Amino acid sequence: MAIDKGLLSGSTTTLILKLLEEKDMYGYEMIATLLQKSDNVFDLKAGTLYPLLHNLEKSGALESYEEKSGSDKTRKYYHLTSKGQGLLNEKQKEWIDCSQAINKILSGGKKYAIS
Amino acid sequence: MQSLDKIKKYTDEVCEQIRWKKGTQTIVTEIENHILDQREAYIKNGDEEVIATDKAILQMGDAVFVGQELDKTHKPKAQPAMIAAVAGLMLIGLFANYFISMSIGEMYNFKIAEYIIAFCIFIVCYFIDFTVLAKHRNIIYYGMLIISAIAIMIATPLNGRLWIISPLFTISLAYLSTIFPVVFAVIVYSQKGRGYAGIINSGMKFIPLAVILLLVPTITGFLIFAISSLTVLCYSISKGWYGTTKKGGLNLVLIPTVLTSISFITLLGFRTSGFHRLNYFINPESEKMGKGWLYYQLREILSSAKLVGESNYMAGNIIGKDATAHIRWLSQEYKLTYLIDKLGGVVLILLIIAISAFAIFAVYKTIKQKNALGKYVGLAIISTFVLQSVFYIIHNLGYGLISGYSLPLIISGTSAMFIDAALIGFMLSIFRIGDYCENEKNISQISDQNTALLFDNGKLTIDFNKLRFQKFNQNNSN
Repeated sequence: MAIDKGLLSGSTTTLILKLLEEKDMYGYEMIATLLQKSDNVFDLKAGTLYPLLHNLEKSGALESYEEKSGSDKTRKYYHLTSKGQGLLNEKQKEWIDCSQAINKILSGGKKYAIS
Repeated sequence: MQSLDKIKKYTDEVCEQIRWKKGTQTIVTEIENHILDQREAYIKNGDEEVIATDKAILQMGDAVFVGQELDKTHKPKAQPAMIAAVAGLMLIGLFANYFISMSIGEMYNFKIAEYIIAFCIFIVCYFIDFTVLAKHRNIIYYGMLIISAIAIMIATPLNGRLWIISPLFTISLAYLSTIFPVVFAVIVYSQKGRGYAGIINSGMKFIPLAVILLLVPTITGFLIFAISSLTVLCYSISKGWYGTTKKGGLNLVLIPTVLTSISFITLLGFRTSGFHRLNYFINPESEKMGKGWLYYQLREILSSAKLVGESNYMAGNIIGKDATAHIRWLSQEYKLTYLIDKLGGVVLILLIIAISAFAIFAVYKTIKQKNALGKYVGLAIISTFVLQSVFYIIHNLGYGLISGYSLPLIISGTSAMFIDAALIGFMLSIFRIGDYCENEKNISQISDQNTALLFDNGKLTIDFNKLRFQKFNQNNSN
C-alpha cells in the first residue's frame, strides 16, 4: 500500500527510537526491520535515515559505536541512551494523544467535525 | 562503469556537500556499507550485480540532498562561551597584575603583551586538530622523553630547581609536569583493549616521565602529573578501555599506587627534614622568626583580611629594615595573598567561583565527549588546570606543604602562561571537533577470557597461548 510521505515523516523519529529500544542496530538493519515489521508499509529511504540518525546522535538521544560483522564489514551500531528513551516516551504519548483525537473525529460521522 | 565506481561516485557526491571534510570518512564507510548490504539483498532476490547496484544507489536517495542534510549536522561546534570564559579569566589576571604593579609603584612590571600573545596561542591551538596526537603517539612520547632529557642536561640550577635560561625566554623545567599528563593520556589511548598487559605497559611508560620530574626536582610537578595520570587511567579502566574488569583493573593500579605513595612520603619525610617542616607547618608561631615566618605571615594576612576593602596587614606588621623588600617579594611571589590584603577576601571568593565554574563546565564537556582520545586528553588537561589552581590557592593561603606553581591563565610567569593557554586551547579544540572524529569500536564486550594476563583476587595469571594469539591478531590487523 502506498502511503503519504507527509504522514510518515513526522513519526520517523518515533519509529527509529522504538526499534532501538529493543536492541542496538545499524542503518540497513533498521530499514529492513521497519519494512518487515510494518508489513512493507514503511519503506524508509536511506538518505532520510542517516541525517536523522546523525541528528539524534548529536542531540544525545543516540550513541554509536563500530563493530566488525561476520563479513568483515565494520558496522556502525546505534544505541538508545536514557535521553533517547525519554524522547521516545514523549513522542509515543504525543502520538497516542494525536491519533486518539484524529480517530475520535474520523469515527464521528459526517456532521461530527463541524457540530 | 564498474559497480564499485558507481558507489564511490555517489559517496563522493554526498561528501562534496559536507563542508567539514574531517568528518566525512565515517560517513563514507557507513553509506558504502549500506549500499553493499542493500545490493546483496537485491542480488539474493534475483537481480544482476549491475542492476542491484543501481537500485541500491537509487534507494539511498538524491546524493546532493543527503549531503546537504548531513552537512547541517557535521560541522565543528564553535565554543563561544568557553572562549569568552578563557578571555574572562585572562582579563581578571590582567587587572590583577595591573593593580599589583600600580600598588607597589612598578608599572614597568605590567606587560599587557604577554596576555595578548597567550590569547593568540590559545586561539591557534583551538584550531589545531587534536587527533594528530594519536597519529604520532610514539614520536610524541619518545620525543618528549628525549627533549626533557636534553633539557635536564643543559638546564641551570636556580633556587633548587632546573631552569632553561635563554635571551628569549626563561622557564622552569617544573612546567613539564603540565605537558606530561597529555602525553600519558595518549599512551592510555594507544593501549585500547590490551587488557592487564596494557595497564602495566601504561604504568611502565609513566615511570620515565615521573623520574624526569623528580630530577628537576619538583614534588608539586610530580604530584600534578601523578594525580592527573591516575585520574585518566582510572577513568579509562572504569569505562572498559583496556577490556579488563573494573575491579581487577583498578586494583592493579591503586594497590601499587598506595604502596608507592606511602613509601615515597616516608622517604621524603626522613631525607629532607620533612618532619621538621611538618612541625612548623602545623604550628608556625613556634618558629615565627625562623623557618615558620612565611607560614605565619601568610596566615596572619588571611585572618586579618576584611571581606571587602584593605586590611593593610602587610604595611602595619611586616616591619624592620627589610620590610619593603619583603612586601615587594610577597607582592610578586604571593600575588593572591597580596590582593586579599589590599582588596579583601572577596577576591579569593570570586576567583574560586570563576575557576570552579570554568572547571566544572570543562569536565562536563569532556565527559560528554564521544571520542575517547578527546576524552582522555581533555581530562588530563582539565585535571592539570584544577590541580595547579588548588596548589596555588592553598600555597597563597599559607597552608601549602608543597609550593604552588601558578594560577593558570590568571597569575603566572610568561612561559607558564603560554603553556597553559596552549593546553586550554587544545582542550577547546577537542570540544570543537571531538564528537565528529572517528569513534572507536566498542570494547566493553571484551572479557577477561580474551586477555592473556588475568589479575584476580591478588593472583596474576599469564596465559602464553592467548599471548601468542593476541600477537598473531595484532600482526594481522597491522
